[in-house]
Amino acid sequence: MATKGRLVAAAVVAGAALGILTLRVADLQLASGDDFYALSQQNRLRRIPVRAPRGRVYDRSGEVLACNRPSYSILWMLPSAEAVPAAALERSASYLTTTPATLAATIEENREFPYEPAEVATGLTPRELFAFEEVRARYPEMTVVSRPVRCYPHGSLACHLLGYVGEIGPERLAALKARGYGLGDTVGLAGLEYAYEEYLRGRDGFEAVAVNALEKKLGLEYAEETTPPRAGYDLHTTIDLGLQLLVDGLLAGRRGAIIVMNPENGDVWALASSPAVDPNDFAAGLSAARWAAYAGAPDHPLLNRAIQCSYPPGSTFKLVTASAALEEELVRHDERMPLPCGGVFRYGRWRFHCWKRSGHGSLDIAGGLKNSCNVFFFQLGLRVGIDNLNKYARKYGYGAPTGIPLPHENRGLIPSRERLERKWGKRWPRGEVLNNAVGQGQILLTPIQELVAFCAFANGGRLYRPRLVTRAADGDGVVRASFPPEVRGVVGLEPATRETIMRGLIGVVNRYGVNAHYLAGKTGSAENPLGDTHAWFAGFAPAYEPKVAVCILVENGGYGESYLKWGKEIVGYCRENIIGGAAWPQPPAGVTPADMEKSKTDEEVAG
Amino acid sequence: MPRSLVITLIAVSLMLATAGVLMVFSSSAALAYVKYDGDSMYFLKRHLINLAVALAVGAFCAFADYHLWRRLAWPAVIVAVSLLVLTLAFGVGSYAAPVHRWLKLGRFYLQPSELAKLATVFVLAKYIARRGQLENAYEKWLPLGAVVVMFAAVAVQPDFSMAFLIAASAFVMLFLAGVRFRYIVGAGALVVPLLAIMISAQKYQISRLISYVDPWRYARGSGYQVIQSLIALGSGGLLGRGLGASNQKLFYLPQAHTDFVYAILGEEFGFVGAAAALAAFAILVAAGFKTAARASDAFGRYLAAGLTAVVGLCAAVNLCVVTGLIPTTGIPLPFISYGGTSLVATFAAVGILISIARRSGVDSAFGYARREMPSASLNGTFVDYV
Repeated sequence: MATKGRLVAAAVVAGAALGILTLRVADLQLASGDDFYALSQQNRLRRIPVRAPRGRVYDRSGEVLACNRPSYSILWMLPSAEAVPAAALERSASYLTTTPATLAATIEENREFPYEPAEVATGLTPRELFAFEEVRARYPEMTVVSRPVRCYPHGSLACHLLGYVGEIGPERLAALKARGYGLGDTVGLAGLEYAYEEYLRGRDGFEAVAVNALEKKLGLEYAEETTPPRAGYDLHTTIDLGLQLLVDGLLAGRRGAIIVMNPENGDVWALASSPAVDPNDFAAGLSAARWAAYAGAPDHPLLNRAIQCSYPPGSTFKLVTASAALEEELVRHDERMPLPCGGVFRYGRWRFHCWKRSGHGSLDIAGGLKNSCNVFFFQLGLRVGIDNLNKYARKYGYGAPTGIPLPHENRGLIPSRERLERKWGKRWPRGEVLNNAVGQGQILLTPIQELVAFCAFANGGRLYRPRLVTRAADGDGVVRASFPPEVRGVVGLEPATRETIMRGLIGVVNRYGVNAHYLAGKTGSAENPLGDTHAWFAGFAPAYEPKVAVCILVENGGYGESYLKWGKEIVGYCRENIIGGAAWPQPPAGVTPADMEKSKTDEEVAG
Repeated sequence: MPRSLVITLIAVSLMLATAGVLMVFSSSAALAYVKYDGDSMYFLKRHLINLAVALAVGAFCAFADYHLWRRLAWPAVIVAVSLLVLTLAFGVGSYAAPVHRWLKLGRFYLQPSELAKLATVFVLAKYIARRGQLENAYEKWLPLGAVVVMFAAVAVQPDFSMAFLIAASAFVMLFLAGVRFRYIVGAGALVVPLLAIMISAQKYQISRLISYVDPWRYARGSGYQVIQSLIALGSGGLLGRGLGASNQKLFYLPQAHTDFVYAILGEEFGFVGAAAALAAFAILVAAGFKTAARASDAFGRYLAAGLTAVVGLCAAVNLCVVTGLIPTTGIPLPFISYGGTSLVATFAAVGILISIARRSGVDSAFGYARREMPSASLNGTFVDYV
């Protein structure tokens, strides 16, 4: 029988197995024991993430526009699936008024890795928080953590400018993963929150706590393992809270936008778009119903109409037509057009109307601007031509983003020969330039482009990049980044050109008798396929030394003139509260707005 | 010396069982405290009850004539297969895995695959001992068929590691019986691809295999358990952290009191304790083989060899899992792991080994002086005590 020999063979195999196991255990325990001991020490520490608060957003005088409030969540602390005892699951589920199965599913869903703490309840009210604190000894498997949640104390005020934050989406996460973003992180989704994300976002910290078998904190014994969070940098903006409140109030109930800017450096003092949303809704996590209501609303409240929507400019575009004509010396400063305005202008088979059916009579260029006479500008447009119109529109910055540091800026549309030829071929309708000369036809501008262009005219030609944020500073006030004013281009107008057009722009306001602040500007009533004309006003004050510029757009708002009183109110506020009554430049001795409208040539003509 | 053999078997198994009591309490107290509302001795109490039953069964097996198991071989097979079928229908699994391994009997759980292990040894020992005198094809193939049926019933639970143990034990017995290599190789060629197919059909088996190759890459997922096991074992160092001082049992190492109890033993008692446990198992296996070599008849020889193989392989597989040498699989460590059926089956095996040792040829201490009987006379009606 072979048994004996084979028994020996089996014993040899068993002995070999014993030898291998002994060597393995010796290797693990004796050779690598210290390494494993270190790993085991790490196991005793739970790293609880401590969310960094986002930087605050201040207005120009330090008023808070966006801050953080604590939000309390309940964390499930038991790590392993095996150790989730039915009893604990049941009592916790009944405390959280859910079922054990749902709770278990929530736990698994809310953690990125197994064996990590998971959020099981969020957004506790103070009442719920205190109630839990009282009984938490009975629920050793749960603990409370607080995390900062974005808070906008003024509600929907300047919501399009500030933007909102929310949980990072899969695409953004993929893009930002390398910069340390993780699942469930909060990220800016619109407005300044989006554009200045890198400054506003802080660095999350970790609290390393030693835990016992029940996952109760034993205390912060491991301070060296604890990384405190670094708060995000605070943004100091150019916004004036009072002015923003004023313009938001003016727009309430309407669709439109108002922007107020310092023409001397491009600082935006107020930027409002209406209708508005409450960004606090997004910070707390938007319900599906609320999102559907926002996204599906017919008046698109999420759109920032000041920068993301482009409109036909109407008569406000006459600034460009007039500048082109004067600069290219296609019209003399005192020249009257051959055809006095009789309310209608015939071009080929077409009849182009002036807004005033009875006609304006014979006008020079300042008069044409003052009365916004279409017949005058039809004739001027024919002289200027499509190419010059395009050239000067570009000089004023139209057709390109202004570079305002907000996401998704619309670039607008300006007419060009190439575009017309692409659409119509070589025989494009020459009458199109008549429409363009008065800001109609294929021409679209955003309110911010309009304002930047008028600011450039007001300040003598400097095309500023709108500035919203002057600096980002840390909690101690140390400036971490500063954003100086930036000139993107120069319009380069002859002083005579500027003076002539200025007379027209002052006249516009004087016609309506609202010119205590020496306001100069241009109204527009832009025809559009959506109903009533869009009302525009773009202007600046005081005309002799511009300190404030404003652009108003009201969708389907009727006539631009109707909103001159808003311009007056806004300028009045800035004069009192931003510039300061005493610092408001005094007009040349004895000059009234009406005097400023008149000029030598005017008097000569009149005389 | 057979008497010293008996003493060795008793002493080693009692030492291992004592270590088991200590380790089960140490490794399960925290879990029991959390899971059973502050009753940190929950698992200890159940383990002590299991141990009492196991000692009683072991004593019975030690005193009873081991030839009893020859008569009970077929009943054991029938009971094992029936229970396995019942388990497939009514069995419960652990955690979330869709497995059916336990029968719930009141407050206790029965693992029929442990019985199948013993039944395999009984029926094969009976069969091998009588080889050469098998009268017809029915007698020749039925025992092997029974083993295949039990293997299959365990494998579909699914419990591949236990099925593997059954197959491996059968293999050891056939090998010791002197079966020609080509038959063994042929059977292996049949079983290995079968196991491979069954393993690859199970998603969790695949992830276990992948994490076996590189556990640190999957440290948070499928490699977690083996890494925590290595951390436990490794952090014990030479002398260990001391009884009760394990850190890994505090929920870092899942199944610390069952399949991974050896890791906690290594953590608390260090290399000294871990090596001592290895030595104890080695002594037990050596004593088992010695018992086989000295058995007074062929049935006793193969029975002893088979039971030694079962216990030894079980221990070896478990230790290899805990030390990360083979992929994670659910085999308890005999004597030490928490788990009643395994404990009872182990002590039954040791008891039978003692019974065989007591009756070996030169053992006269208990009043038996028996030559090795020819196999032919061991057929069926043998009664050796009054």
